[in-house]
Amino acid sequence: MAGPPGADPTDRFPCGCLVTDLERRIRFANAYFEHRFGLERDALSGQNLADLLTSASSVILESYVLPMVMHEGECGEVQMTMISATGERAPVVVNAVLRAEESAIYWSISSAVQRDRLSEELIEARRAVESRAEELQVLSMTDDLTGLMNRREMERRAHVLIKDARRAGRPVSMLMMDIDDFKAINDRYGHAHGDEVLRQVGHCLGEHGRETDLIARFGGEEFVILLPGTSLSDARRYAARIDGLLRAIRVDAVSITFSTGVTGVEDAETAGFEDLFKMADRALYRAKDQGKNRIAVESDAPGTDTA
Amino acid sequence: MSEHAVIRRNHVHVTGAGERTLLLAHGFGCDQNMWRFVLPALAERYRVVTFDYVGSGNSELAAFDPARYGELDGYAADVLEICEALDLRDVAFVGHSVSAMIGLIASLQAPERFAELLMVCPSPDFQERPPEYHGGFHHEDLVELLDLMDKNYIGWANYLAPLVMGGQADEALVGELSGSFCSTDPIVAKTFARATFFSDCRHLLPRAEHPTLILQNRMDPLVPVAVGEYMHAAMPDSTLRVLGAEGHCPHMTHSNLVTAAVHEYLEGMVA
Repeated sequence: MAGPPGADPTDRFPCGCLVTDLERRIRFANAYFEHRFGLERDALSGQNLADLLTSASSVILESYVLPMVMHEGECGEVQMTMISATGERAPVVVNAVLRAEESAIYWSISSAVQRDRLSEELIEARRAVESRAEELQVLSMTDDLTGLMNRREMERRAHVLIKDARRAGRPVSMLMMDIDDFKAINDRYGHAHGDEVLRQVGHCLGEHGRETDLIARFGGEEFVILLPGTSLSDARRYAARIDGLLRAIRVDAVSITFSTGVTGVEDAETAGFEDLFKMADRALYRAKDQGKNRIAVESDAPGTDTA
Repeated sequence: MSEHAVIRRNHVHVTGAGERTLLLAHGFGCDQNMWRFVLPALAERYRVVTFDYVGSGNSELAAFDPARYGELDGYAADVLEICEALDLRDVAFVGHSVSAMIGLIASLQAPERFAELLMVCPSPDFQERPPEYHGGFHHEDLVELLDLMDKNYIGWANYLAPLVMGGQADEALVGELSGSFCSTDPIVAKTFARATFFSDCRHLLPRAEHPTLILQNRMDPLVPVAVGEYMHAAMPDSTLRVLGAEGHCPHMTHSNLVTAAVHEYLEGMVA
C-alpha cells in the first residue's frame, strides 16, 4: 500500500496539505506546493500562511476563516488567491480544521481555476439579471408617454411620504388636473396630436415640479401631484402657477385648458392617500361641473371655498 | 427606538458584574461570539455588554439599511442607540479592528457615554496614502476583496429579492441567511467591507476626547506596525501596547494577553 520507502504519502495528494500553528506559521507542507506553485517545502517551513496569499485573501483569512476555525472548529470551501513562487496568482479553495490539543490548524488547499471561472460566469449572469430587473422595475413604474411615474408607483411612494409628513406633523396637499375636452382634441386632430399634448403636459409638469413632489399621469388625460409639506393655501397658489404654465402649451397652434381640483390637510394624521385622492377628485368634479377651465378647492376644514 | 427594540435589533447581551461597564464591539466579518474567549475573564470583574451590528450575527437583518450602514457613522449610531437603551455612562469601549474607529466616532458624538476607548488591532485607514501614511492595502487589493467576497457568497436571492419585490424584500427569506457566526449575506458583508476598508478616519484621531489604549499585534496581516505608531502619535491621551501575538484577532487566539492588557489599563486608570 505504501509508496517507496521513506516517501511521505501526503506528497501524493492532488491538493496542498498544510499544518500551521494558531498564528498561521507553517509547520508542515506537502510536496504539492512545490509541484503546483514552485514553493519549496524547506522555504515554507516557519512562513506565515498569510504571506502566500494576496492582500485581499489575507482579509478573508483574518476576518472569516480564522475566526470561524477558532469559534466553530472548522471552516470550509473558502475561495482565496495564492501567489506562486513566480508571482502568478492562482485561485484556490481552502478548507481548515482546528486541532486544539495540538494548537494546530490543518489545511487543505485545492486548485480552483474552474470553479473561479464558473463563479465569474455566475457573477456576470447575476449582473445581467440585476440590470434587466432594474430596467423592468423602471418600466413598471413609468408612464411610457410622458415619462412621469404611473399611478401604481405614485400610490406606492405616496404612502411613505404621507407617513413621513404625519410623523413630522407637516401638511400634505394634492392636485388633480384634467385636460378639458381632451376627447374632442383627439377626435378633431387625431390621436397623434392628443399624444403630443399629453407629452408636452408631462414635460411641463416634470420641468416645474419640485423634487420633493410626486407627479404622475394617472391614466387618460388626468395628472396627479402630491405635495408633501405644502399647506392648502400654498398648494392653491402652486396650482394657479402650474395652470398658467400649462395654458401656454400649443400643439399646432391649438391651446388647451385644465380643470384642477386642489385639496390638502394640515395634519396628515387625519387623512391618508385614499382620503386625499377622494377629496381632490370631488374638487375636480366640482371644477368640471362649474364649467371647466378653473381651479376648485376642497379641504377637510369648515368653510371650504370653491374658487 | 424603544429600549427593547434596540436590544432585540442588536441582539444585546449583558453579563458579569462590576463597577465598570465594558462595551465590546466586534469587527468586520463576524459577530459578538468573537469575544467568547475573553468574556469569562472579563465578566469576573466587569459588567460586560456585547452586541451584533445590524446585519451581523443574530441581529435583525430586516433593520439593515444599505445607506445607513454604508458609512461607519451608521454603525456608530448602533453603538449610541445601545448606550441610550441601556442608559450606559462612562463605559470602557472595547472595539476590535474597524470597531475601534466606530467607537471613536461614537465617543465624539456623545462623550458623556464613554470613559476610555480600548482599541484591539485598530486601523484608522486601511489604504496606502503615500507618502505620509501606509495603511497596508492598495486600492486594487480592496477591489479584489469585494470580488472575492462575491465569489464566496454568491447569493442570488438576496440580490434579486429587493429588485423583484420592489424594494420590499421578503423578510423571512432574508432573515434565513442570518444567524451564522460569520456573515454570509452578500449585500450586508460587502456593505460592511466597503465601510470598513474604504473609510479614512485619520482626521478624527487628534480630536479624541478620551484616554485610549491601542493594542496591537507584533505582526498583523491587516495592520502594519507603523499604523499603531501613527495612531499613538496622533491621539492626545493614548497608550500603545504591542502584544507578543500574530494575526488580527488576539482576543480569539491570545485571549489571556488581551484580558491582562484590559485589566492592567483600566486599573491604571483608577490609580
